[in-house]
Amino acid sequence: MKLHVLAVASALAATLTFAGFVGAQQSGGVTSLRNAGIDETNAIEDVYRQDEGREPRNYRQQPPIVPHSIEQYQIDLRTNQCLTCHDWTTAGDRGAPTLSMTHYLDRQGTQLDTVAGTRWFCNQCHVPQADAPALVGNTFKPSSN
Amino acid sequence: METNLGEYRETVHYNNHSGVRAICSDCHVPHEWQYKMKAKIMAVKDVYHEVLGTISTPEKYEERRLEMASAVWTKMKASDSRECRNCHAFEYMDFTIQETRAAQNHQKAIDTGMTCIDCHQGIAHDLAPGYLEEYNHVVKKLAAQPHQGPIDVAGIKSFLGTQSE
Ligand code: HEC
Ligand code: HEC
Repeated sequence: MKLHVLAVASALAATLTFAGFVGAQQSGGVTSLRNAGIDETNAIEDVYRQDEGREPRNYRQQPPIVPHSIEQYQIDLRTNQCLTCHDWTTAGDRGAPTLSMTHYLDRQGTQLDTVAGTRWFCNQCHVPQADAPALVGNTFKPSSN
Repeated sequence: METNLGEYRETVHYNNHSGVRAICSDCHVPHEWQYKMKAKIMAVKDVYHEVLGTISTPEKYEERRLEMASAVWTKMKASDSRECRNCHAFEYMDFTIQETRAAQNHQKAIDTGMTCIDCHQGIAHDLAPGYLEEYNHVVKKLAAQPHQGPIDVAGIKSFLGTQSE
């Protein structure tokens, strides 16, 4: 109970402080992070759709970007659902590209039968492709040009 | 029953773009009277274990996760995913607006008489390690029972008189 009251009080305090802060900023002609007046509706960010079709790689060792949605695929300590389609044991049946054989090498370069632990969390390296502007600008040019 | 409820709330059957929701009973309680009664009687077992606390801690739950999933897969495979099909039907799917991957596999499923649960394990609950092996085991077990073979596609086609097409 005590904790609850404390939480409400601190939330209230924070809100009041913030409101005062925004007020002060706007009176000084500074735009807020919100970029719009408090009475205007704020446009939400665009939702970018999944792009289909495989993109060419920009350099030889690039992890290919994912040409399909990866929403709702479980990747955790217990299960990696990507392997259901991409592991060498299933890829043929599922019509998916087999994991690169590099994914079956451990740190010492030993060939394994199951995917290496270092490759377990696929989305560390492979991201779904979307028709979205780059988050960070860069001047990279593929080595093939 | 809290663990599985929580997991389900992270999935598309709970929240999605179209605003249609499938609740627990939509998938786990058949519509047809005779199957519904059977499900209700079998549910006594769930109540019993809930009272007993068989899955009352996360650790106990994990220990039983695969076994519980396997029991449900067996039911779904044996009934040709009857409860899924109360809402989903191949006939109503527009393959042209599905992801290529999905459209191709749905066509394959029709052609070879596969059923929803053959691919869609873990759509509403987390999966345990070794789930695919266990599912294959379920399929083998059912296939070994004489009356539950795969769907006879050729038979259905000739029944409908579409064999010559
Ligand atoms: C239902 C089966 C299935 C699952 C599950 C699946 N994929 Fe795929 N994946 C495919 C298919 C089929 C393709 C080929 C698609 C195409 O060619 O357009 C593909 C293509 C890819 C590619 C491109 C490969 C290349 O050489 O260009 C990557 C990367 C990939 N998937 C990663 C993943 C990751 C990461 C996951 C898990 C989050 C995952 N996939 C889950 C079926 C699957
Ligand atoms: C450490 C980063 C990393 C992780 C983690 C990783 N990959 Fe890769 N993957 C790569 C790179 C780099 C390539 C391309 C070079 C190569 O073939 O090794 C690649 C290639 C692929 C390919 C294309 C193979 C081919 O022959 O065209 C697929 C499919 C793929 N990965 C799927 C996956 C899946 C599924 C997982 C999770 C189980 C995963 N990867 C985990 C880095 C990674």
